[in-house]
Amino acid sequence: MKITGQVQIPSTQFGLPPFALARPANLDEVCAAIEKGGRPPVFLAGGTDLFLQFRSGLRPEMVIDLNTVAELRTISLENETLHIGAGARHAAGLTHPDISARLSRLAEAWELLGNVRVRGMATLGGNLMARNNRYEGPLFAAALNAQLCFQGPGGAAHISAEEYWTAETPANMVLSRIEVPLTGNPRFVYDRSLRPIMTMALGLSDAPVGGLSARVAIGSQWNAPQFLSFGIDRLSDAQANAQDLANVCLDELPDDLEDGDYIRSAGAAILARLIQRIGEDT
Amino acid sequence: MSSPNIVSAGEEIEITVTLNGETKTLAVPAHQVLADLLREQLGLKGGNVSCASGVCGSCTILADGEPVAACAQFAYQMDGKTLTTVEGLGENGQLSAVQKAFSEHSAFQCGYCTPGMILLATALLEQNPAPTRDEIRTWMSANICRCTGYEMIIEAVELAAGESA
Repeated sequence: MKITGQVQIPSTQFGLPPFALARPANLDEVCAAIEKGGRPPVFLAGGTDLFLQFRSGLRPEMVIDLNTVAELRTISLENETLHIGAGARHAAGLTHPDISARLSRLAEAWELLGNVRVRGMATLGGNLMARNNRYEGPLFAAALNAQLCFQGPGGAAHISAEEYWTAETPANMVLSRIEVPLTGNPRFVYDRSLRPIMTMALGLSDAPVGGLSARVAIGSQWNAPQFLSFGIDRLSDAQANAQDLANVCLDELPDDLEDGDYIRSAGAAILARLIQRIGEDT
Repeated sequence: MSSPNIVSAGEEIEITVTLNGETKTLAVPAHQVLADLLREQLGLKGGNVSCASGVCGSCTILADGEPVAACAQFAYQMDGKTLTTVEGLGENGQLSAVQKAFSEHSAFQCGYCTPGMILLATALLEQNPAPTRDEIRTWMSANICRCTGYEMIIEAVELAAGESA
């Protein structure tokens, strides 16, 4: 800020007001910072969404910078579960060898997010926590049946990616990692050809009781993400009847969606295409 | 629970950056935006701020060789990094290959987005010296030209890639 007479003006029209900055070294210190800071806590990771919020009037007393917490950026494969740190940049996720090896279609889809500047800075956790209808991370996570793991001063909490949109979400906690189960030979395909009207992710995995379970996540600029699921006895049968199956599945969408008729009809065409594509990889 | 390092509102943080080849130690408050540091404090006005939200890319600089929007980063986050602004391109008064290609190919109209476009293209050619046209289009789509002079921008990057080959 510059002092001009009695008036304080920002050095440019883009200047921001001061805030206290917490720079925790580990998750334990993040929890301590959450206790000391305002409510709700304001976290900085990639900053791509936080800056938009600042420009929209966010004025936090304290910002908790997560970039100094190395454990939030780790990506690892443990006991057939992919652990993706919430602070992992998109660019790091989409090029990680474990993700490319086990979920190559996820890596391909991930590369479609944003642009090279955004993918270099923004994080998966930021994408999920922004709770933005048109963001694609929640669709990926839900289709892959991922769990979101939170940590706070009061302990830990785990909820499914779907529950993050449909249930009460953990308050005053930080998203520490996303766990993607790799048991059941998960497969994944994604379509964003109609973005922002509609994007769709399809996840498929072997069901414990036999057959396959399918999860569909549908994103749209004008609706909260929608989640559908169905069972399949055999993939070849599903592919042979892909359009019928897709029609029945999309019919389950609620009646009050914006552009619901269009999303149901175009969505059924896209889902049928995804059912065909997911079979190509198996 | 151990206590985190907390910087009070308005308190300055000392950072060291290598800016256009020169090491600088600076004191910046936590809330200072990188674009403000570069333009207002250091007088490097080559990069322009437009959307101020990290969307348009007109303020693009390179941080450790990666393109970042200077309007959507705090200055203190650059501690320890090597920064390149458009003023840092070229050597001995000569334009860089990308700058030369943009100039020769008239790859600008109003010129507001040009410094960001040039730095974005510079990062591409550092990582991929021989990009295909599709790769150039995808990479350069990160930044917006409101004059919509994209065709000549893409051709200029192709030209620069050819020059540096």
